[in-house]
Amino acid sequence: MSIRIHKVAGSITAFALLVSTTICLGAPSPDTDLAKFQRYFSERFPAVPFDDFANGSYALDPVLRENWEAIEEFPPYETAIEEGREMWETPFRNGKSYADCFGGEHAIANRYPHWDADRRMVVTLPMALNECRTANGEEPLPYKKGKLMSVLAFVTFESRGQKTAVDVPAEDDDALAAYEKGKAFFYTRRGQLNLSCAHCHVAYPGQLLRSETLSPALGHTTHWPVYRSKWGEMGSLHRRFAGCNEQVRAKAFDAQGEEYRDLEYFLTYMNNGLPLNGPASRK
Amino acid sequence: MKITTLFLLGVCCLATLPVASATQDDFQQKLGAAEKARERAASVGGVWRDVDKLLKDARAAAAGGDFDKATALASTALTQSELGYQQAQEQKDGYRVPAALQ
Repeated sequence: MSIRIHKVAGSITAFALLVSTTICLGAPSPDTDLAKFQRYFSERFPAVPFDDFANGSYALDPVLRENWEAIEEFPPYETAIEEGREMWETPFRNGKSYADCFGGEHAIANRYPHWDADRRMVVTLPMALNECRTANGEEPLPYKKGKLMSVLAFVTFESRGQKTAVDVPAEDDDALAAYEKGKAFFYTRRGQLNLSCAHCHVAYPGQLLRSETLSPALGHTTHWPVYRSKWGEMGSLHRRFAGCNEQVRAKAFDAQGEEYRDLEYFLTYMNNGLPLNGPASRK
Repeated sequence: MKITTLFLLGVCCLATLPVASATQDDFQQKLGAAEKARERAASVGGVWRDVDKLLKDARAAAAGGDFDKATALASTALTQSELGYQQAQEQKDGYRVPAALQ
């Protein structure tokens, strides 16, 4: 009996030591991740003001910036904003509208993505817009391109200047798990090229991949949807995630599937504090 | 001179011999293995981009009666699926955050 008590006491002591050691070493948490992530990019590119990271590669290369600013004088996403405004203001067949789903407000981009404590999942802005449609008897719209991009363009345009402000509630283990899944996705090697998101966008931003300048991960989530010259149309963040995955020769995941929603949750959290500046144009 | 001529003749004869070609059974076996490996890779999110196209092309080649090509394509899909599974398993708990961000 006494031997058993000693064994139990020994186990408890070992566990306590492990926990205290972990605490002393500073176990990773969203807060510490965020501080290290943003400090890394600020130190890597000391000449770039923090808010300017929201402009991606254009914050790093003056020639690229000049070309981009010329494009922005006649923004290719302007028609999408107008179409989105019209869609927002046009009632659904049941007489209600998008505004009814969001408390009458339209500048709502900085509320997303967020952890939905009731549904135990990450909810993104495109998902919320589509759920508004289906709740009012309308068909959901495709998540990668098309008319949903117009509604998104209108909402993000109206939300310009808001700060990215994603919360990972510390008391909710599932929210933390979703964050950790997104983080794992970001740093996981995948595809035939055996590369992670971080290889290009943490290790090599500012350098050339063929003729393209790699963008820093800090700033990746601020400006969607985007009119991308390569696409010749508007597209979503998850479309870009899918494109990146395919570029490393991995099979892409579904837009708005759990993998990309969690990735968006992690990545947007890493962008906390940056201004929202969507929609935008990119090469 | 004589030896060289004989050697060259020998090489030519060998080159014209029919090589062992794949049969429909070989293809079906390889395709089954590749499809199974693809599902296994999918179960851990490790499917590589070209696997589905390789399988599609393999089925098309088999439908056209080219079992050599079909078997070779299925074989590539099998290898890529096995590697994709292995990669996903290794990365599951083994992904690395860059030292500067740890």
